[in-house]
Amino acid sequence: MLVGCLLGSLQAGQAQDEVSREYQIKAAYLYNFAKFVEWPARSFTNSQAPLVIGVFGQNPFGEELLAIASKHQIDGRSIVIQPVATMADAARVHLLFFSAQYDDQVAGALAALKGTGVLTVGESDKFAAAGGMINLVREANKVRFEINALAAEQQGLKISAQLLKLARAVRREP
Amino acid sequence: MKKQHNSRVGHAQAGQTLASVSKHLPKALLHSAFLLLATAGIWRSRAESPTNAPAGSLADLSVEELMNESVTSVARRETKFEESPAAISVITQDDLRRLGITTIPDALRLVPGLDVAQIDSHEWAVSARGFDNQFANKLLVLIDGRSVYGTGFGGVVWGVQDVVMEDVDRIEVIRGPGASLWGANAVNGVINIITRSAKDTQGTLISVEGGTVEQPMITVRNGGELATNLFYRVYGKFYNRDGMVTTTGQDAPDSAIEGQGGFRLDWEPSDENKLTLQGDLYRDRDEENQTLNLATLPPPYSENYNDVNYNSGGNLLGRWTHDFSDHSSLTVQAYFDRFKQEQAGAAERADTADFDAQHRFSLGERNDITWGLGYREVVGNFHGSEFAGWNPPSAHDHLYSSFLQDEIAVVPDQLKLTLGSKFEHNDYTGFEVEPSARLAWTPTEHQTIWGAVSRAVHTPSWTDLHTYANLAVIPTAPFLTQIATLGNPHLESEVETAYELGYRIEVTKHVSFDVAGFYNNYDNLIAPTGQTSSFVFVPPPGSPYVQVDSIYENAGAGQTYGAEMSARWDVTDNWHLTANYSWLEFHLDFQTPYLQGGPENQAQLRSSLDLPRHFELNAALSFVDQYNAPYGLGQMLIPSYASVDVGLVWHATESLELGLWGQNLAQERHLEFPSYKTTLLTEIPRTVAARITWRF
Repeated sequence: MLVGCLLGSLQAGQAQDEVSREYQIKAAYLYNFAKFVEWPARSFTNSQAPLVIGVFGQNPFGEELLAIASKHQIDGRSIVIQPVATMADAARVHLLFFSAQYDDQVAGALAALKGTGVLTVGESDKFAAAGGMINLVREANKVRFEINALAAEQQGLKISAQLLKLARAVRREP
Repeated sequence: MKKQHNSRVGHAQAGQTLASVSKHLPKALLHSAFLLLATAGIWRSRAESPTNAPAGSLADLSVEELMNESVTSVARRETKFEESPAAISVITQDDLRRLGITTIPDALRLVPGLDVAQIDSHEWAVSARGFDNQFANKLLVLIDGRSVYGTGFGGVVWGVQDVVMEDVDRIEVIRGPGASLWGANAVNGVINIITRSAKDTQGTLISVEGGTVEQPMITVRNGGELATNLFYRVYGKFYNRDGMVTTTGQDAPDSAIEGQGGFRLDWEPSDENKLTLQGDLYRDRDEENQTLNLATLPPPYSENYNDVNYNSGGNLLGRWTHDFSDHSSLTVQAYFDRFKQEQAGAAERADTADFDAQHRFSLGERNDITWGLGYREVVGNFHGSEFAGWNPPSAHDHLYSSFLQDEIAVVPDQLKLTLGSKFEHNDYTGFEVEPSARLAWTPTEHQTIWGAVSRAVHTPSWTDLHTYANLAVIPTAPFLTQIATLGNPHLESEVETAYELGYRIEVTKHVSFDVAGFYNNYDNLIAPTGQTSSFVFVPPPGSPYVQVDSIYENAGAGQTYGAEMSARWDVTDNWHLTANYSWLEFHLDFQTPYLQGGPENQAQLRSSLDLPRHFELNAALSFVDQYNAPYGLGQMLIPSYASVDVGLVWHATESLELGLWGQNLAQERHLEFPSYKTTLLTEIPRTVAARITWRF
């Protein structure tokens, strides 16, 4: 039922055609991150299984992510956008985005995701401090990102050197 | 790759004739991203409302491009060139890195329609759409907004134009006239070399390259944050470049040594304000291939010079950008540049001070206006020798300029008309007006048809106006004959009228195609076609002689026409192909070996392949048709050549990158361009290079 509610909010998001450019850019980043990360084999049931991008709570991307998913594939996998409300939902996605409005819950959520092989992406200092893997950062009027390489490695995720090279900072913090 | 290590041995093999000379092409190995970027910029421009790209469309951008996307619409100014209805290519940092490119001219070989020819280890002839020459005087080049076009000779001294390649953000190349914005001498092209903000070059970089050419090239750069939002970088660069080869494959003594250092400060006190201060200092020592043979009146009528040239210089530039709002911004820039060079016993010094201001704003819904004012002062000195110099030996130029441009959305999202003109005043030819009209029609989301008519001028260089150069003394009977070239202070500007037509289409998300055609008409072309002779009486013990002077004059008209094509195919996410082709026809209404066209046909195919385990395999195959080049008092035909370049890059760890490149693999050596200083020729050998890049 929660999923139903969230789907509702996702559709509400689509109805609003005004997605800020910031979230258009961030949505494109999520897609790019998925391209540059290698998940452990156990994360996919087979070679055709879709890659699932989850959005925790309310979806700030409007129709951006759905539009990207409808037009793109990654390594032959289709992309599925999944609203996430519970930790059980969260463990079933490959990439999970936390918007800053969930800062209060992020530490607990990240702790619960240990060992699941989920790539976590956020947009706040709190997310980074709590051990999130890729943090999107506003710098003047640009969007950049930082990577906690150790957090990703501990989940069996391989982040490509290309992406690490472009990161504003690469940290190795537990 | 092993085979290439033997290339030095190969050079020693005799028997290679000019006619069979090979190829060379750049260090170009591969990659197609620049086209993608160029076209992406153009497609993006269709979304007139800058904050609302079509849903999901940003996913087509690479991570690097996303990093440069502005959350607010102020980025429009920065993407403007790519949005322009003009023949534009962009070389990205990724292209430079993958291809192991170490010089700016080699980077420019990736662009269709540019003619790049290496003369020796430290000199190049780079031109766009014809008029190939070491001092190609119709191409404007800027590094971070600073013009490096030299007023002295009229052209760019490529050997001293150096940057930290790893810090280059992109190189934007516009073929065709850009005079309505950039002013005089932006006749056949404008090249903007743009380095990254200090904010984006944080940390330490150490790069060492060694091979058959660079022995070695060492670059060290360090960047950091001095205070909140105040970023710096400092760098030092050194290379010892081995000489090329002679026409018989022997080592040629044209080695070059250069040291350069510099800094950049970027301060962003607020979202609306950006300040940049940057500067460089450099000095190089170039040996010429071969002894120069200079004309003298006393027997034996020539003197041999073992020539070593020293170039040095420096610059300091400050820029302030202020955004009043999303629809209005101001850029104010000032710089000072000093350049000194010594050649064949003569020395030139040019000091340039330049001030420039540009304001861009939206007027109503449909008009986007940019206007600007500029002032430039150039002080030049030439310490001539008995062979060559200027008369008078110094110059002090004042250039006043302004421009106005209006981008009009005739039919929003479909039809855009750009009208603009530069208005300039210089000390020699007076007022110059350089207008252009450009129209872009985007009938569907994935295609653009554009056309343009422009007027551009080339103003005479100090050499055109004031030079004297003794070219030869011929012991004819009964008197000696001395042949010289003389400047002409009454020259008018060369005037170009250019007609361009272009079409771009994104056939699918993975395939795109870009073609641009042009017809240029030139009037008042400057060439040393005037002839006078006089008898010069010299009291004994000297001997009287006949002086024959070729005088620069506005000799007549000429036409060029041609086309450039570029296609990109992303075969898979990891494999990209790019194909370029250019065609050029050149015609003069008068006879002179001094002005030449360029290769009639050029083609290039590049491939970039990302392999598992962080390897990248890059390759390029290039063909350059035969072309004529000025040579001594006449001209020579440079044979066509083909080249194969291959490179392997390995990202060993997050901070360590290793690269191995083989260049010009198809032939042992080949000729690209003769020197204006000597009739001896230098050829470009097959080379290998290895580089280690460490970032921390």
